[in-house]
Formats: sequence, structure tokens, C-alpha cells
Amino acid sequence: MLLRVQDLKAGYATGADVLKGVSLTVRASSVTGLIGANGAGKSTLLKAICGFLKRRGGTIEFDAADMGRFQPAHLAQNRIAYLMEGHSVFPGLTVEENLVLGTWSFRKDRARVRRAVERAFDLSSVLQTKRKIRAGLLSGGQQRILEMERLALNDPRLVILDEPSLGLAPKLVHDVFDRISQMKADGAGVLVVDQSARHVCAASEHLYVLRLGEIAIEGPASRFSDRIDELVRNFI
Amino acid sequence: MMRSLLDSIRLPKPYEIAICALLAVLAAIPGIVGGRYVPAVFTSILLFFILGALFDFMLGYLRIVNFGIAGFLCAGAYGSALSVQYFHITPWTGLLVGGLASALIGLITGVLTLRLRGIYIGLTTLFVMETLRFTISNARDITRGASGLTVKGFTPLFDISFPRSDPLGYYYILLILVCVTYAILYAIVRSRIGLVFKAVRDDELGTSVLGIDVVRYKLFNFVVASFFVGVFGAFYAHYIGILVPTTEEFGIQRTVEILTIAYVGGRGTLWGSLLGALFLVGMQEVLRDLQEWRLVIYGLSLILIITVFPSGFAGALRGLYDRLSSLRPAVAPQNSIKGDA
Amino acid sequence: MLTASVLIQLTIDGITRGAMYGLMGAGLALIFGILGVINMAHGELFMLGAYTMYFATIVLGIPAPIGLLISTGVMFVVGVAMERSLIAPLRARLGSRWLIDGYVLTIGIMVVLQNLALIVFGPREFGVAAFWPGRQELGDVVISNERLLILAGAVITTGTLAVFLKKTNLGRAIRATAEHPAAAQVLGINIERIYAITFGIGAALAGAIGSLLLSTYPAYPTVGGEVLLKAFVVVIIGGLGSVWGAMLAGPLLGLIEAYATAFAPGGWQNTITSLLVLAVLVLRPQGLFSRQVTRP
Repeated sequence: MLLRVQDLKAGYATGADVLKGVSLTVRASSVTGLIGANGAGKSTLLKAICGFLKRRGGTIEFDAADMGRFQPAHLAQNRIAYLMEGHSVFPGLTVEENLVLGTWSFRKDRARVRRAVERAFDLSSVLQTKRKIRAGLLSGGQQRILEMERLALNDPRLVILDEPSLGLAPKLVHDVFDRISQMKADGAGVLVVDQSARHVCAASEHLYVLRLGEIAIEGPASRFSDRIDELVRNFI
Repeated sequence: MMRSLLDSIRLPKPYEIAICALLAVLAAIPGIVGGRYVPAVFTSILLFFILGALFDFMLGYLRIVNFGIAGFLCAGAYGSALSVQYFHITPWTGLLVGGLASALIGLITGVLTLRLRGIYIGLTTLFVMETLRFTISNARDITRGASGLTVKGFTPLFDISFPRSDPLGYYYILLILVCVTYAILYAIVRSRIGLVFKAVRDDELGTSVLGIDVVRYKLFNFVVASFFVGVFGAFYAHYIGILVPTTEEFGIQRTVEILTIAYVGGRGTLWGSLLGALFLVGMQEVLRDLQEWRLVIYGLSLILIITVFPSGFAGALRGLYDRLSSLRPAVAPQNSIKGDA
Repeated sequence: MLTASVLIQLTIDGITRGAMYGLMGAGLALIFGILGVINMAHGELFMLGAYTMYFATIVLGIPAPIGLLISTGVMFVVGVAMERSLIAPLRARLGSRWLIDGYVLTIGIMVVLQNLALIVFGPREFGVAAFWPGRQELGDVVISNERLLILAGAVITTGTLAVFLKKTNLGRAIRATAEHPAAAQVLGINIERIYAITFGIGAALAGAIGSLLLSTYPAYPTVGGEVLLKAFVVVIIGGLGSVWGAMLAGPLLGLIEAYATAFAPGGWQNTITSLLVLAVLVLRPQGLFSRQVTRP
């Protein structure tokens, strides 16, 4: 088991837990989907896993090791990639500089850095043509591609994605989920939160539905694929 | 019956005790001791107290950092001194003129920058101060620049004369001005307007979402504070007798002194500045032989207050009071004002 | 009266002085961009750099170029120590609400350093004669060698800083942290280390300039005040937190001052520049060279 979260409690205001004891697991070479209404605590859960929010109870294990005092700075060295809420490109840096920063955890190995960056450019012709352009000038969709390629650079073992398709045109949503499948094929375990329940369901092996800080339903995604409308009606 | 009577007796709040006691002391001691030295020191304490309180009125309530407070002091001082000299008004009218001059600058500055991020008001006031100071230094024909402008003392009022040789008279003028000003500030802070101030301090965005025009409240606060700073600038001009546009008098150094008093006293309390002024002016007098260490102590107190003890003297006193009152049963919990602006 | 040679002279003077302002401002902007704090003690770092240079070159007799490197290095260490010991704990305690306290803290540091210097060194000025005496004459235009040296120093330092920020891993990480600290963290950048290093670099820049200018600005306790004001002007004109803006605004300010001194008598150039700053603050708070609009 790549990631095992047990009975996780966390929140912002004192005394008010947003997450009231959440348990979930993510396997290597698989996609785990997490859906739920606004305010269910999806982003909060991802923040707590990545160390941006202090947890108040429960355990998080990565690769069978306890992530006791885990901090955001430890993410990259453990090859955990995290697409945070909102935009996270560095707008004043060029596309290429953004990608090079994605290789920070192995920056001393210059040959590998060059290989990784060139591979990212090979995978995305859009980025290739915008190589020397400041990332802030890219469209929202192009920025998302940049973010996805940047986080894929150090061959992550666990990929945590917060709303990767938010605000994207339908064609790009497909591209993003194709890229997720690609990461899975490369051996990564992916945990994806997205408002597009249908896409999440189609891309996932396992699905969790979060409601008011608790897991309401879970199971193999195949079980939900024909009931997805019902699921959305009832829980989202 | 007995019980409810007991409950209705309210333990005086710490600042009420402190203010009454200190007021009595402030009014009596210089009069009793007399001479020149003691009244002069007490004048200094009172001036720094009210300037600290005015700084705190802006910073501790609305998070407006007025780095140019010494510039507003300067506007009041030169405003009054120059009008007395060229338009032959009395220094008493000069107090009002000085206040209005400073309030006008405050109004213009406020309208232009209070809608921007907090840091801009800090920088703008800083440069308003420097612009004034440079202009005054350069306009030698009018202000006599660095050689200093001599200013007349207060003229007799109600058959009482105020010769410079007797600082006690000036001290009592100041005491009355300070009491009136403090009462007005206190009334504002306690009113519904003050409630909005506190709401803005704790959550500016949230308050503006409620439909409250935050900028208007900030402007009101800023202009009121500027006016009174100007009034005390005018008082200072007629008290001290000579004005020079140096950084020690009307520049960054004076601002730092005032700011330190507000911070050391405890932000968001107004009365804390009295403790700050007593402590820092007192220290200055005790360490008279170690003049150069005085400012080191100012700086160190500022660093200590910020890093170790953010609520200042007022916070310490309040903590002590809370502990004392918790010994008594059935005391309603105090709404403590946070001092972490 | 105003011949071409005078104009050239003024321009060279202005650019030389302005390049220094630009570098002071760049350090201030770098610190503001990363830590969000206006370092009021920046002028005192300049002062300490100047004293270090004086003691290295005059008291210890070390050659000037090495003295410059020493004082730059010393000030880097001082900057890192200041950030770690005072600023980092405050940031850790207050989180995002620390802004005002942050700059009041640096005011405290400013006052302490200034007056400790007064106690330790006294009010006297520690100046040096020109590191490179003599002058160059090109037709009517006369430039002292010292001025050329300072100009060269400014150009080299500016170039080094630009290359560092643009081309090195650490420089990129610093810019990334300024723009999106959380995203930088996710990529494995230790932002606490970046904060400390950035403060160190700002301090080192101030120290280097204090050293370079020692022959024109002797070291004395309150020398930082005037320098800080210039750095402020540059940072505001260039846009708060914009290093490139500051580097451009520096020479601009230098030129304005040089021409203003030639045309306006006495100290009026000070009034002119501070009015200019107020105009920028009110009309274009994001600075003259900034592309993006500032968030209110």
C-alpha cells in the first residue's frame, strides 16, 4: 500500500474539525478518485496529507512509514507530487525555468535535469513553443499543462491532484485525464480530487465519496460507473 | 438579595484605577515640587503619552501605520508658529490652526492612499513627513530653515500670564489639552464607531463584506488623529520656543520615539501609552549620564516587545488584573482587547 | 554655462551615484519581495559594511579589493544571523499577520545598531582617501579615477546579481519563492533557507556598496539614514519588491538628482525627489516599471 490514511482529523478554527476521521488508501500503479460537494473537506484532506495543515488525530503512512512530522518540504524528496488548489506556476519565470525548478530535488545531477526537462518538452508541443515565455502569460489551460509536466519531472511515486480540470475546456480536460493515466502507467499511485465526477470515475480504480468531513461511500469505481448520476444527485 | 447586590458592585477596571491615580499624580506632583526640572519632565511625559495614544488610535485600532507622525507634528508646529508670526493671530488660535493644517494634510493623504494596501500608507506618510521637512529646511526666507524659527509663548488668558520662565503654566495647559483629547479618543473608541474599528482590525475583509465602508472609517480615524497631532505640534512650538526641521525633532527619529512608546505601552489600549511614556521618559532621566545608551534602550525595548512580549505593559497589567479578579466569584468575563495588531 | 561637457559630466555623475542607489534598492526589494518586510535597518547594514571596509583596509592594511570581498562576506553572515535570530522566530509566531510587526522589528534593529555604533566608534567620520587617485580627461570632460572605479564596481555587482538571479539554481529558487512560496515548497525548496539567504544577500549588497563608497561616504553612525531614504525612493519608483525595477530606478534617481542640483539651488533637489516619490505612490503605486497591477 503506497498511502494509508487512517482516522484523520484536521481543521482550521480551533474546536471545529473539518475532517472528522477520514480513512483511505492509495495503491501504486492505480488511480484513486475522491469526490464530494463543495465544503466536504476534499482540499482540506489533501492539504493535511501534504503537511500544509496540522492534523489533529489519526495516522498517515507513506510506503508503510509513518509520516509523523511530515512537512511540505519533505514532499519532493519522498517523490510525492502535489498539485495544489488554484494556480501554482511561477508567473514571472519562463516556462523553461518553471520546469527546471521541478527538478530541484535532483538539481545536482545536471545530465538528468536536462534529460527530464527535454522529455517534458517532447511530451508537450505547446510548452515547447512557449519555452522562453513567462509562465504568467500562458492561458489557464497551458498553465495547467505546465503544472502537470512540472510535477511529473521527478518520477513521482505518489501524485496528489487537487481539481486538475477546474476551469479547463472539454478537450483539455481529456488531455489532463490522459496524462493521469500515463502517470499511472509509469507506476505512480494517483489520488485525484475533481469536480468532474464522471471523469474521475472513469479514470479511477477506486472511488471515495466525501461528505461533511467523512467518507460516505467507497468502493471499486466500476461499481459506480452506471450509477454516477445518482451519486452526483445524492452527494454532490 | 445580598448576592445580587454584591454582583452589581463592579470592580473598577484596571485602566480606570490607573488613569485616576495617575491623573492625580500628574496634576499634583509638578505643582507641589515646583521648580523648572520636574514640570519639564512631566510635560515631556504627557506629550509623549498623548502622541503615543494618537499613534495607537490609528495603529492599534485600524492598523494604519503612520510612519510620518512626526511630519504631522511638524505641520502643526510650523502651521501655528508661522501664522502667529505672519498673520498675528494668538497662539491660542494657533492651536486650532496647527490642528487644521495637520488635519488637511491628513485628509489629502488619507483620501489618496487609505484605499491601498497598508504598506502604502506607511510609505506615503513617511515621504509626506520628509517632503515637509525638506521644504521647511529649504524655504529659509519664511521658516529660517536650519537656523531655527523662534516662536512666541502663549499670551495671557483670563488674566493668567504664561511666561517661559515658568514651565508650570505650560504644563497645566498641556494637561487640560491632553485630558480633553484623551476623553474624545476614548469616547470614539467606546462608541459604535469604535466597534467598527475593532471589527476592521480583526477582519478587514469580513467587515467590508458586511457592507461597511471601511475606507470611510479609516479616513475619519486618520483625520481625527492628524488634527490632534497637529494641535500638540502647535502646543510644542509655543512651549519649546524654537523650531528646527531636523530628524530628531520632526523626522524619523521622533516617529520612532512615539512608535516605541505606543508599542511598549501596549497596542490597542490608548492608556498603555502613558505607561510607555513614563517608562521611557523616566529611563531617559535616570540615565542622563548615559545619553548615548538611551536610544539603544529604545531600540532594545522595541525588539523585546515585538519578539517576546507583544502586549506591552498594558498587557502585563491586564494579566495581573485578570488574575486578581478571578479570585473573586461571579465576575463577568472581561472582553480583553487583543494587542497584536 | 550649460555646455555639452557639463551635461556629460552631470550624466556620468548621476549614473554612477544612481547605480549605487539601484543596488541598495535591489537589496531592499529582494528582501521585501521574499519576506514581505521593509527592512528599515538596511541603511545600518550599509554603515556596518563601511566600517568593516575601513578596518580591513586601513587598520589591518588589507588591499582594497580583498577588503571589499571580506566586508561583503561579513555582511552576508550578519544578514543571515539577523534573519535567523530575530525575524524568523517572529514570522513563525505570527504567520501571515506579522507584516507590521516585522517592520517595526527592523526599526528596533536600526536604532540599536545606529547607537551602538555611536557608542563603539563615536561620532567621528572614518573616511579614506581615494583608492585610486588621479583623474581621466577626455576633452572637456573630467572624471576622477575613483568615480570610474565606483562605476565599474556598480556595474560588476549589478551584473553579478542579475546573472545570479537569472541563471543559477539558487537564484531561480529565490525568484520562485517570491512569487509562490507554497508551490516552491512543494517542489522541495527549503523556503526558510531561502529567506535567510535572501536576507544575507540583501545585507551583503548593502555592505558591498558601503565599502565601495567609503571614499565618498565616510563611515559614521548615522550615515545609514540618508542612504535608506534613497533606497526607499528607488524601491518605490521601481515598484515594491521588484529587483529589476530598483536597478532601473537607481540610475534614474541619480540623473534626476544630478540635473536637479545643477538647475535648482540649495537643497531643493531633496524636496523634488520626495515629491516625485509621493506622486508615484499616489498615481502609480505599482511603480513606474512594473507590468502587473498591484493587489490592493
